[in-house]
Amino acid sequence: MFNWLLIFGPMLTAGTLAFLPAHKRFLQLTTLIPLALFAGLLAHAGDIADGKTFRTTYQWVDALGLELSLVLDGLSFLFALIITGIGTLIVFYTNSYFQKDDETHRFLIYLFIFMSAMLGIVLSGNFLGMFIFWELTTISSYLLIGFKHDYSVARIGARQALIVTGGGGLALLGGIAMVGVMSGGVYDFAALDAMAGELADHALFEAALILIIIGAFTKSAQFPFHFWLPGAMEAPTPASSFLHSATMVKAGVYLLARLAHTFGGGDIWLYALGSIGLFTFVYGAFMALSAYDLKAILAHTTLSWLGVLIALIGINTKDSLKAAMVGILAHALYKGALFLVVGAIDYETGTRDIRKLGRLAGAMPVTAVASALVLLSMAGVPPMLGFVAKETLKVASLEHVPDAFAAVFPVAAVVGSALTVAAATMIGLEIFLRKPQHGEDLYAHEAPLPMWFGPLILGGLSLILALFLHQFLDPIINPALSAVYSDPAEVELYLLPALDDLAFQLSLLSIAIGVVIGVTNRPLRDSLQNKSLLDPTHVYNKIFGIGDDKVDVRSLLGQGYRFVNRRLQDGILRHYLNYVFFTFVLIMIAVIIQVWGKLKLPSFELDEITLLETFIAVIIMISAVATTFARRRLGAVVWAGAAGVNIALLFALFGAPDLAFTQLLIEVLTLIFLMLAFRLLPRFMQDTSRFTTFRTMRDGVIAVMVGLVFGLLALLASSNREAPPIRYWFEENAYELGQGHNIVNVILVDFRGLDTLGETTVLVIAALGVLALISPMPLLDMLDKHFKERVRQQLEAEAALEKDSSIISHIYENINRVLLAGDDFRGDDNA
Amino acid sequence: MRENIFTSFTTRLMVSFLFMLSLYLLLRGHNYPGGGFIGGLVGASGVVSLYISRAASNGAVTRNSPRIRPGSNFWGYLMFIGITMVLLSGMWGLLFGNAYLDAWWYTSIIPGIGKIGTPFFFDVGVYLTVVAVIISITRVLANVKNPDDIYEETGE
Repeated sequence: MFNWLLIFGPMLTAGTLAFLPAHKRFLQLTTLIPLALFAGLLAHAGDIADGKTFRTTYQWVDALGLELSLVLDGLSFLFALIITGIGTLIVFYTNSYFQKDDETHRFLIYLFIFMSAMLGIVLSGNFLGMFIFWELTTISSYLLIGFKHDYSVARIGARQALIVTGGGGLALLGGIAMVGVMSGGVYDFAALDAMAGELADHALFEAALILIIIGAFTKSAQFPFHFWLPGAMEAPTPASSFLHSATMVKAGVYLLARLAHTFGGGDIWLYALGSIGLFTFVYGAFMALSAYDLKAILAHTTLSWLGVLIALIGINTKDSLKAAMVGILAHALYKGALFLVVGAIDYETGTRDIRKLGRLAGAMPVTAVASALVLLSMAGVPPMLGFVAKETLKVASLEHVPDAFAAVFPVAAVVGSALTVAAATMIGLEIFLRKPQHGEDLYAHEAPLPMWFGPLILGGLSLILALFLHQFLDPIINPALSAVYSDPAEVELYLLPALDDLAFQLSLLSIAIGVVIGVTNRPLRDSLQNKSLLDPTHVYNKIFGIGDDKVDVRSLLGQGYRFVNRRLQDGILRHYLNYVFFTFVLIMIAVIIQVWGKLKLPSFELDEITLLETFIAVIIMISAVATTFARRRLGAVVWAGAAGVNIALLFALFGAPDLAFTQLLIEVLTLIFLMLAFRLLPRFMQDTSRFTTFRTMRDGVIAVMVGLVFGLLALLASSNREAPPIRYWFEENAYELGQGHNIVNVILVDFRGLDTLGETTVLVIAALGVLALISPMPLLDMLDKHFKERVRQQLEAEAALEKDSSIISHIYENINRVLLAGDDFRGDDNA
Repeated sequence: MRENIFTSFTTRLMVSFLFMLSLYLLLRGHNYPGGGFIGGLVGASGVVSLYISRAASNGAVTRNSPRIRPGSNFWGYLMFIGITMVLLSGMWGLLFGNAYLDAWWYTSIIPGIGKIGTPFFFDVGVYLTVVAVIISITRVLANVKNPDDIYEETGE
């Protein structure tokens, strides 16, 4: 029960909020929702620490093996704590971040939707169920990044994030589908884990694994998909803090951790996760030193740390997984807080440019203290939680590492850590202590309480959790580790290392290097000048374009779009008919050739055909041929109608009065409709240049082929009947079951009622379409009035306006053609 | 311009006759050729012939010519009523734990109509929808003005 509340509580809050007025009091009260969930989670802490797992299941779509099963185990518990705990502080913070209540209102609705989705990811016990929440986080992230949607940068950032993570989501879906194929429709994580051996031997295993890894990499912003994360910094700061550092970007890490036992262990897992993760670790930390924007700096350090988490999961030893678990928690605490601090600084000073900021420690003392705590944790200085994380990282890089990474991992760990230390030093120095690089000191004063409260709490936690390691940290980390891999007791966390310990010496080394780089950061940054090395953004732009609203015609996507539009969607119905019929003929010919050997050829009994039937058939044929030679639309329609009426006669002759009746009525009504429409169209044959010999021949060939194929199909169908006709069943049961003697009607209203229901609906939709397209009421009436008005003006004025009118009448004509023409949607025909 | 009395008169006669015929077809449909769809087509063709009669009078509208008010939304509502009836007639089955659209028949025979059951209401819904759809489309098409006529009206 609690599991359900956990997932749907925030969603319900969002739904309720949407109907409440944007009033400050309601909005502030919503802080209690995540707080209550957090408290509820803490109440389960004892059971979780004892190794209990809470599981609830609801069958959702049986046919797909999709069940909504919620599992609260150690790993889920760790993530759920982070989501609800930091979520509480974020909601509290948001209430003073925005200037206007309705902005807060809209933001909180999105945020709660996201919170539900994120909790859904970490609580789902079913791979397929998890994917739904996975996509939901992508969408809510899109809404949050594009929150300031009147800025084009925000729109571009949002779209970029959506395309990259959404594309990764598609890859993940492909991977999940393959897993389903391999497991025979089992998607439950626990059940999948039980059949890990079978899965690894399956032919699809590698493909599935690579697709899943791509999904996780896009979500967790790994190189080369990392560029969406700095772009996502257009989001309001609380969203950046919550989604783009503390929770959502860790979804990929979570997924890989969840699957580490089932899929880990192979070469692909080790090399893909290990190499990409370590590269991103070093790369992100280095790029952070080149950026000017504080949020961009934080974004780069975030993707850097995500890289190391992924590499640790890739190494897949008990030490590395433990380091990953500690790293997840430590990072969420310090990075979430840092974003909030940046938001507060931005709020007070109006800038996030690191060159303009400086010496804020005096003006914002509480913020400075909170920042100091979290920056120390980020740098991994004892006795902070960050130190514990960095220390376990160093241990993991030394112990039991597979040979391929035995040399690389410690080096990368030291370099990456050093650069992270440098970034932390730089932020602390440049914002709070040193004079600004450019310009004078900025005027600022202390941020309001909700803006420093969160960072202070998170900073305090970073200290307390480390100080009381065994009391507080172990009960959270150990169940998470045992959910992922192994017995947690084998790896002990510690705060006071021995001085001769190699890992500790490496930590000290990286801190020393980092501080030096951090202090001398200005020359380095000035030489890099905010440039992004190895940035795949231009590849993305080449494919998807750079505009924010329209399709960019220079991009690959735009080119493809233009090609399709010109070649296939040219707006001329004749061509559409050609494509459709030609494709149909090709497919049918291919099918007939394939099964030709098994077919019985039709046999004719010529004397079974009566004179009357022959006569009608000849009339139908004459009418059909005459239709194609008609010089006017009306003539063509009348000839086609003649064929239709004679077909109705045939129906009547063969004992299908209902069908004949319907056919006849439809023919009459079609004629009337077409007559009403034709009077509005330009004359058909005026422009003979359209009917070149080639086009006539081409259309003629297609038409004859369609006719032949249809005729052949009809003959073959009648001579190759295998099952007894269904009509006997209808004859027997129409009165018994359907209470009627007219079989056709019983079928329509009873046996096949659902079909009729669908057809009736289609009829209504068609009518609505006609009304919307050519209804004289709103659009044409308006044009009508407008046009009359213009013509009147034109009569009053003189020669100068004549030109104007000819343009207007031309436009009017074209609009009419577009709206009314069934024949030609385009002014010129240059196909 | 004068009204064409001949078409006007015959149309009026025809419309009432066609509507009666269409109801007859609807009611007998379950046992003999006919039914909601065919009945609806016949009924609609009655109203369509009103438009033809107006066209035959060259658009002249006089006190005696058939009334067609382009502003009214009656047929739109009727379309909605028809499709709702079709949808609701299937609900009966659901109410009693059967599948959607499962038929239910009233056992005794009602004079003039015959047996009554949910398929009958289904058919009536189809009938109303068909009539309303065809008439709406005709009205729209018939009321669009030809661009050439506008030139003439403004005296260009």
